Amino acid sequence: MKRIYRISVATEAIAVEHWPGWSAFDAAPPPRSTARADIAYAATALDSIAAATGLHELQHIRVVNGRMADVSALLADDLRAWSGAGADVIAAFTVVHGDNIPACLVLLRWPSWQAALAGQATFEADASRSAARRVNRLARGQAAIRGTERLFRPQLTVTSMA
Amino acid sequence: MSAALYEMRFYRVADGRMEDELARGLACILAPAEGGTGLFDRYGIPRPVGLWRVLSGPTLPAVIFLYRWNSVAERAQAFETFYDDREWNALRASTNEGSEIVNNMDDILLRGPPPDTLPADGIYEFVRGAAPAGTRTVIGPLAPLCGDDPSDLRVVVHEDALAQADDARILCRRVALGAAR
Repeated sequence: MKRIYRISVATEAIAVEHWPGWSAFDAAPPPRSTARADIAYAATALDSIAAATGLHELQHIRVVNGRMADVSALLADDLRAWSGAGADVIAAFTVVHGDNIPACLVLLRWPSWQAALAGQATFEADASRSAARRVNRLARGQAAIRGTERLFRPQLTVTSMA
Repeated sequence: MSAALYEMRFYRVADGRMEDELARGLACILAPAEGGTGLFDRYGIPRPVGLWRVLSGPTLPAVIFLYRWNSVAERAQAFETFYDDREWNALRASTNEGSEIVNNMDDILLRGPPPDTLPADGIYEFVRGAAPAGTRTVIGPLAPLCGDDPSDLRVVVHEDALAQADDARILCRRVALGAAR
């Protein structure tokens, strides 16, 4: 059974609420959203998420329709590259309900803004990640990702809803 | 009265592909006796509460399907098994003709009162927040459980002549099931 996550981006925090499955979601539904929010499945193995303070980032990766399988494969390289660039990779998600989908989410924690700035350059210079994207783009005639939005907040909250 | 659960599917369609999208959607929704495939019936996907062709707004062409579900678990079971259906995947591939009909979509869960009767004709509008003057709310207010805009959604019908629409307003025409044009 897939766990369900609602990931919201409020002014001061990225908020994660989670349920063990859709039946639990129905039994204990979330309150109406008060900030932008997506409802998602975990895209990678995810045992638990812990609340924390510190600089957190939520990426919205907008996927070309029909190319989610390609992006799922590329995501493993991305997460490795983000980790190598100095981020703690917390989780990745596949959005089920939200605006502007298909989309994936990546949740990271950074030690500081300086680390995030330096990490971006390191990530973009990662040769094997770039090579994987190039191979995929040339094979399919089009990049698999439409664009990425990066949102930073000073806190991560986590709530178990069941 | 407990709130009804809705799923709004707002499809941004590739340029020039609206007829393809409507034809494919109706093929899934309608039973064979009505000219469709009966695919949705096979997986327990209900008839949509409404289907609208968007006339104005920032991201056209677009079409909106609004579904009402008994539970999110029922919805997940229905659509996720449908997506694996061999006939659906063949239909999708053949109608795409090498490129996706749909560029991207919004898929939003909402809760609110049951719908009123929807007029066949008239100018509909999907509104966030308060209903504009001169309109009648036929669905809503609906509280979103996700999406970029947390304000209430209303589906309204314009009862007075629409003097002027700003560029962001989502004005629509309802499409009768079985009559896409």
